[in-house]
This record gives sequence, structure tokens and C-alpha cells, in this order.
Amino acid sequence: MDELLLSKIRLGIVAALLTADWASFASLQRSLQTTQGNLAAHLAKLVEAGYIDEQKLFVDRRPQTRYSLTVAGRAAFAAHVGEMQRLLASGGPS
Amino acid sequence: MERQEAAEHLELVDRILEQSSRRLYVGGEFFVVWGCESALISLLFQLLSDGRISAPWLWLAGAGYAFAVAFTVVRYRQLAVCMERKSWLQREFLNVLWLALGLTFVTQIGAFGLYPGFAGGGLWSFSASFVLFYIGMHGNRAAIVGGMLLLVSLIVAAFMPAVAGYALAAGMLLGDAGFGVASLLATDERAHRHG
Repeated sequence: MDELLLSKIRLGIVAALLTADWASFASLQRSLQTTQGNLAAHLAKLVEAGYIDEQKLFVDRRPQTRYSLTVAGRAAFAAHVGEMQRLLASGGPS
Repeated sequence: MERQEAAEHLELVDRILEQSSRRLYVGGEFFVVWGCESALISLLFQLLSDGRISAPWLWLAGAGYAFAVAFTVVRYRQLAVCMERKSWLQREFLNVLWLALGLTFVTQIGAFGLYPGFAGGGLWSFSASFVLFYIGMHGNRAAIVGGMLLLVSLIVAAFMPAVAGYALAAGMLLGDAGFGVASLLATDERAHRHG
């Protein structure tokens, strides 16, 4: 299993970005229903691992931070979900 | 990781993916504006062929086109600014919408010799029904009803040429603009529900 994706919030972030070109910080916060500080900490870990990309820009003169999933993040998510499905099918802890 | 935990994590992934796929913004305002514009064109040609108005009234269709194009550009720029997430589905839908609107617009204006009068209206009904059925394929029943209304109006127009303009105009108003109003009301209701 992927250590980084064992956290529910980080797994949720990657799942939320899976079918999107990008999502803003506010959109991710709404999807995952977590606090700003908690979300920011988890996002930073995923950025550091190269699972997601961060882009800071100004939209209508207001700052917006957008996140998108990287190829490495997509591959890690697929492998992690595959492991969890195998665990469920096998009937024992990993 | 225990099985129970793995099951919970997979449930979370399913829930998030399901939520993501439901968030398609169809832009009801574009359907209202272009539905009304197309209905206006068919109506003007019908009134002209009935001898109720003279040819200069057709400039009204041109003015309507100019308004629809300006509205589309301004509104899309506003939407792009307040967008918080761009899903693949949203991107694909917008591609289909702009392709259908753009190609029909260029074809009708550029090939007016091929698609004069009611043929132009028919072209709009065809492309609008194409977009509505595309939306319908993603689980939107109102869009399927709208697309069906447009197809019915096309068939009625083909078999009753004396009232072809009225039939096409009614199809665009009920099917296309009607769908736009329904989706705007649904968006408004969702916004109220989620505060």
C-alpha cells in the first residue's frame, strides 16, 4: 500500500482530482469537508511527493490556488486502490 | 490496513467520484438566448412568407444574432472567472456546445444560399437537439425531453410546410429555451438547498 494515501483526506484529494483538469482549494475543501489548515497540510505533502501540481494565479484580481493530478499521482492512486481491492477480496489484513 | 478500513476508504473514493460526475454545469442561459434567437428567425421567415411583414424586418434576426454572440462571449468569460473546478466532463460538454453553436452559426451565415429561411431554422433545431441528447446521455431527463420536442418540431415542419416556421419556432422555444429555463431553475434550487 502507498503510505501517503493511507490518509483518508489525501486519498480523497487525489480522488477529487482524478476526473478533473484542475480544482481550486475552495472546491477541494467543499468536497472533503475539512478545515483550511488540515487541507493545506495534506495538500503540501502530496505536492512534495509529486502526486499533485500546485498553481497559484489571480482570477478576477483575486488569488486562487489550483491543484491538478500528476502522472505519478494517478499511477500511485491506481496501485493503492488495486491493493485495497485485493485486500478486501483476500479476506485478511495487509 | 484492516479490511474494514479499506472498505471505508473505497467507499469514500466512490462517493467523491460520484459527486464529481454529477457536477455538470450546462449553462441554461445559453440555451435560452440561442433558443429564442433561432425561434425569432423561423418566426420572421414565417411572417414574411405569409406576407405579414416586409423584408427589412429580417434585420431584426441580425440584431438578435449580434446580441446572442455578445451575450455568449461576455457570459462565458464571467463563468470562467467564477469556475472553481474544471472536470473532464465539463470540458467535453463545453467543447460539444461551442462546436455545435459555432458550426451552425458559421454554416447558416456562410452558406445562406444553401440554408435559406426555414432550412436555417431546421439546422438550428438539428444542432440544438444534438447538444441536448448529449446532455441527456449524462442522465439529464429534461434535456432528452427538450431534444425530443425539437425532433418533433422538425418532423411537423417537414410535413406541414405552410406552418413550418411556427413549428420550428415552437420547437426552439419549448425544447431549447425551455430546457435552459428548467436548468437555470434547477441550479437556483440546488444553490438554495446547499446554502
